[in-house]
Amino acid sequence: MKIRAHDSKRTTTILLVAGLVIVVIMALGMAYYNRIIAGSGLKDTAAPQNFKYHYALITDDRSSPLWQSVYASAQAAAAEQDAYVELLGSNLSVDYSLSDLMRIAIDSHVDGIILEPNGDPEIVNLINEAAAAIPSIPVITVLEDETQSQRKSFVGVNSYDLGQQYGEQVLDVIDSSTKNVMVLLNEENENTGQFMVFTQIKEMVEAQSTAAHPINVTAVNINTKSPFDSEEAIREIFVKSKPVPDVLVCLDAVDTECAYQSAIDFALVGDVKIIGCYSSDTILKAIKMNNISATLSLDAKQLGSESVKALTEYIESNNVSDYFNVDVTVINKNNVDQFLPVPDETAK
Amino acid sequence: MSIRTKLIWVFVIASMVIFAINLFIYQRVNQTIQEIDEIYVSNVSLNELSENLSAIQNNMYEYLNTKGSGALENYYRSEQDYANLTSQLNDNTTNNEMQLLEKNIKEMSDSYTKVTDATVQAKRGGIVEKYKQGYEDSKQLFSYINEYIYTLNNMHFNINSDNYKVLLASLQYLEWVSSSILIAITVVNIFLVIVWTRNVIRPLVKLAQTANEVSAGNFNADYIEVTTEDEIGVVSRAFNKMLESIREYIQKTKESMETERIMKEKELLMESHLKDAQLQYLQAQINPHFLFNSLNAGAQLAMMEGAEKTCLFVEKMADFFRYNVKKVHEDSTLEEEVQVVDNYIYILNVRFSDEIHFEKKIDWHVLQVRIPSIVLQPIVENAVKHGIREIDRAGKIRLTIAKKDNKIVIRIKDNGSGMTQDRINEVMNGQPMEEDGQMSSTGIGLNNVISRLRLYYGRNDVFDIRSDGPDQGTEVIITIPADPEITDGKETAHVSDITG
Repeated sequence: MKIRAHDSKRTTTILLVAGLVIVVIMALGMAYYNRIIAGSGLKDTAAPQNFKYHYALITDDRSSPLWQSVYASAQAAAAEQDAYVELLGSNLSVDYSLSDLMRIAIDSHVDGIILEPNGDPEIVNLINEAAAAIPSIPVITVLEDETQSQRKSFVGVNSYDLGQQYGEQVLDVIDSSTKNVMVLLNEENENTGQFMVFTQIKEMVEAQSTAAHPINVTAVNINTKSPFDSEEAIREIFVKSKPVPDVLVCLDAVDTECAYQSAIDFALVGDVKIIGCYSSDTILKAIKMNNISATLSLDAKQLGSESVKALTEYIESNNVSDYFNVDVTVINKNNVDQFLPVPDETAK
Repeated sequence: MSIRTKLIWVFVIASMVIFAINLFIYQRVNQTIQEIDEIYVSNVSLNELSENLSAIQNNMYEYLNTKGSGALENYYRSEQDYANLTSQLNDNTTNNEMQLLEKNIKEMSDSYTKVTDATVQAKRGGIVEKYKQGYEDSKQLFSYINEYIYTLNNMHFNINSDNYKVLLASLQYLEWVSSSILIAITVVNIFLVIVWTRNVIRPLVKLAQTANEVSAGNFNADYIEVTTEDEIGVVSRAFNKMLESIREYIQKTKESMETERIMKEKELLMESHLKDAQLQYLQAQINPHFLFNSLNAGAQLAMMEGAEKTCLFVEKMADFFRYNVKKVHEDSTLEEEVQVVDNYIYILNVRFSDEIHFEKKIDWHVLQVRIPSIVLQPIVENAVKHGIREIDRAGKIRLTIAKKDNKIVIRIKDNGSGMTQDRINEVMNGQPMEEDGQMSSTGIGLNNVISRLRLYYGRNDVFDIRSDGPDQGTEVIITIPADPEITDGKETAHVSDITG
């Protein structure tokens, strides 16, 4: 019996050790394999996060830095309120019109819409249709307002105030040689906020002009119906305008950058004083180099977060303030350094 | 466990390990292939969704166009199918772009079917304006949904294509890793088999080594340690037993050889003494046969002449010498020995005119006991020569043979000049009795007698000499066993010795 016990003990030990070695080899092999697979980036459908509310952000100008910034802040604010904001149309291959996107949002039964209206009367109908839908879809307008519609709230800058601020900047750059001030508009409808801004600038500048030194304030509407219109239109101004305007007021970020680029291309930097909009890196660097006189920066972060808050507030309490004001900051050579080091597009 | 069973186990376990590893690898490969197979499933189902959507739109168009009942039936069937498909889509708001697309598709599909239903109802109700508007609305929604499906399909396709590439590459990696594992496990397996079979074979190797050692003549080789209960264990045990038996046999043979050697030595010694005696006798007696014949002739002559005494004398002389010649090679009975002593005394008394008074006191029952020949006569001759020859008074010799406690005690006592103890010791230790040039009548000295007696009986105390000192006489005592068995045994040995 002793002999057998000794024998079987040794056999068991050999078996155990061999088994252990085999298991270790397999484990190491499979671990190595799994590491390779993980490293090769197999796209796994990681468990997504669920949200209570589904909001749609609709704008014609999805890819602009301003709207990207607004979208990012809206997204962040929404996450805090168990909501998700979808930048509608951003991933589609077809470039749908604003009204198409509104239609899609309504038919997708989203819980709320954040909209930058473009003055199209169809949009008013769609806003009203959303409000009338069952269940009702609240619409918040951002940056541009559609006062005639059943939108629940507006988040943005009062066009009058904005016009005043632009006017002040224009007056700052005007000197005895200034004869022409040109304001670039993106909208044809005269009821929109941009037109109101233009009116303010015009009034303020004309108040300063005298018979001896008349200053002509004009508005040029840049057709934004198709892509790249702004750039072409601005170049045309530089080519065809005789004389070239002394002061060029841009009311959006793309126009500002295009105007600046054209001024460089036509060697008119300094001759054409540009008052811009928004605070992208390019614009801030141009201000630093004294190539752009000043820019008015809307708080994009505030735009995004306020609009989301307004929506949630309306959904949860069925009531919301009609207007949320967003800060506007004037950036010129004196204070540009505060904004330059910040890599973030959102400017204070 | 037998070797066969053990080897079968080794084979079975080794095979099972390889089989298990193969199974595992196949499972992994199958899993990967299945994953590859499933990659484009999402695209397939989205295409199906898109086809169904088109079917609704087409069937509705056909119904609006023809108001056919078949078209209506088809419309409802396709709508049902579509509803089944969309029910599988995600309807939660998530931060996953594709899932959100699914939700939008589902919601828009819901809106879409409501519009198409209303359109179909309007057509049935014949409300022309409504169904025309409904058709336009549905067309628009149809394009939106299709665009969404297309977008979603594209995203899936992009991800699936990437995954396909990765999985295809992973399959190659799997092949490589699996081969490496298989090689490693095979090496371990071979090692296992080697260790295991070595364990099985080791006792056999040990057995072979020991067997070689033993066959080379080393019977003191260590016993084999039996560690297994298999055939080798059985053979090892048998081998150990065999080794033990061989050792025992060798030991016995050694012992018997030793005994034989001692016997042989004894015999050789005896023979050498006899040879010595014979030589001495031959030196003394030139031709005993001529002497016997001459003596016999003398005896007959004396008889014819009527000289009876002379005749008797010559006869006794002849007997005496014949005995000496004849019995020198063999033992004899005590009776014959006594007869020779009688003859000798008769001869001496004729020679020396009854000078010697010889007395016998004999237990006649013990006279058939065998003793070495020519023993008593040399002792008596010695007593005459060195004992009573040298005294002036009448010499007496007394022979006593008696049985005492299974022993026969033979005493030869004289009243002669006696011996000192030193002289006795010298004689007992083998110093010759004869003085220079003096030979005994038979050529056999006392020393020879003592040696032969000691050898014959295998002990030293068979012969003893006693004397109370000079002029006090001497007594020789021979003590021999009375047991006839011992005597017979000795006789056999003795005879074989002689013949040998």
